[in-house]
Amino acid sequence: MSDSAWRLLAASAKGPKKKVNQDYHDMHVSSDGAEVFMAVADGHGSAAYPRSDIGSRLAVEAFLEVVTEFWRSCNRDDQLRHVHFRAKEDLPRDVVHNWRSRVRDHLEREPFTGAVPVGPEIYGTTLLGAVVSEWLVLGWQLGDGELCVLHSDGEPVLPLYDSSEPAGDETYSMCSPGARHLMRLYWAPVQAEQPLRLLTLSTDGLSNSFVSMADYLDFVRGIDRRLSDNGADQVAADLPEWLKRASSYSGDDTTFVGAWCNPRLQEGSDVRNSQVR
Amino acid sequence: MTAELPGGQMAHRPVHFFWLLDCSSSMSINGKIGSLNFAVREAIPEMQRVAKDNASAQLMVRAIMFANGAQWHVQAPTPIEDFHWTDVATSGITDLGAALRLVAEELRTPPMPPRALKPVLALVSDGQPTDDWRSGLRAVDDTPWGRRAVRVAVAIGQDADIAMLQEFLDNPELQPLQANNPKQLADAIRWMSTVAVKAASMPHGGRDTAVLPQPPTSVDDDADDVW
Repeated sequence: MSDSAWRLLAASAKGPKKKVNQDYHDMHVSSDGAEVFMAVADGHGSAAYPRSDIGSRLAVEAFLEVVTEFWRSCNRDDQLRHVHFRAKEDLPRDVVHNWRSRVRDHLEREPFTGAVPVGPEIYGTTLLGAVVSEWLVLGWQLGDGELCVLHSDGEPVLPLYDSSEPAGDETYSMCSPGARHLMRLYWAPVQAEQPLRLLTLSTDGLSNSFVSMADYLDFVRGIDRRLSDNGADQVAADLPEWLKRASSYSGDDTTFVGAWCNPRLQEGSDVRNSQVR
Repeated sequence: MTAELPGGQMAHRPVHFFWLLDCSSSMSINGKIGSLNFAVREAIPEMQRVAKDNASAQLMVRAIMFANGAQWHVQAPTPIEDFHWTDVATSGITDLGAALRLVAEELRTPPMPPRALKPVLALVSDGQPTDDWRSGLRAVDDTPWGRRAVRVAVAIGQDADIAMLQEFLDNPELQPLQANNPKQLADAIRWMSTVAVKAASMPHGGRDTAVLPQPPTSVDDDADDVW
């Protein structure tokens, strides 16, 4: 970690009227400091999904296990088209399969006796995950929430934003039929131009606290500015209070994780969105 | 001390609540319209209390009255803290379809913001619709927010069209509330204006419809029935 140019930020706040925080997150830097693996999930939380807090944890665990294995099998010398195919087809299938397997195991260990039909649905959750490396940046999204990237030009972008997502709080889910096909992919091979400075994942409790998506993007822009001006330690210390304030507006659990590349430590590893080679 | 939160303007998400009130001539019989005005007025403090308990949602109320056609009784989305009830009066027939088409226009995006909680449609009627109400319902269902609205309904008296109200609800687990006397109407209006707001105000994901607790049950004493 100390050898890595990447600094990690993570915090979560429970919604003001929620009994438990149904969001979950986890992230880590690889042992050589070259890659960051990160994920957040937002359990649906309503009566039809009584174990969604567990479902979100299982989704993050499933993603990180699968993506770590996926990444181990990727090689910089591979044809990018081949890696892209696996990222688009294999990883969503494997993550959903892994999550469903974890759900089955959990149900066996702790049978559910409630008013709703028992099945994966009671664990319903969204999922956002990413891998950041020196040659490729990848992100996956199933359901709502935001994956935001900010390059050296300082302008935050939502590459997976989908205006056709259901209105209100309804969202696609890990328990949706054909969930693997609902997972969207962000694909950004590293090129020798604008380097990636910040990649963030957040649950919709954060974006819903702002009047508009432009106001949310201002938040990410502001985080980037504070990171540059005040350093990651100060931002990490402030983040929990900021999320608590945001959740008081959205009324929802609110989670934010980010990987920030200190520009002073960054040496020529450039990442930008591009097409498959 | 925590630094100021970066980013743009923050705001609570709105819950838009629409009263759809039958003001046909039959509502003047045996004091129904007076009881309805009383019940809605009495429900306002309860709605304000519920809104206060769900501070992350901003409850905005409007009202449509329908008889010969439909018209806004309260057109501007009004914060519940500032909402006051002016009595509605009766005349004419029961053009529910016109009311549904009127509210459907408001359930499009825009004027509805993309960032909102589920709206609430609260329908109160004592009779049979006299226009093409199904096309009005289709207009509501054709809007993204109309499809997802929390819907509640009250049938006043024995002549109310229960099948129509059930179709409006579009939820097999929920029946229209039956009000055959002023007390039952007051209870029903209080329930629909508070429980539905609570259900709509709580953010949650997934694809389920809002789950409403069981409505109030009244002692089944026909002797009290006046409608």
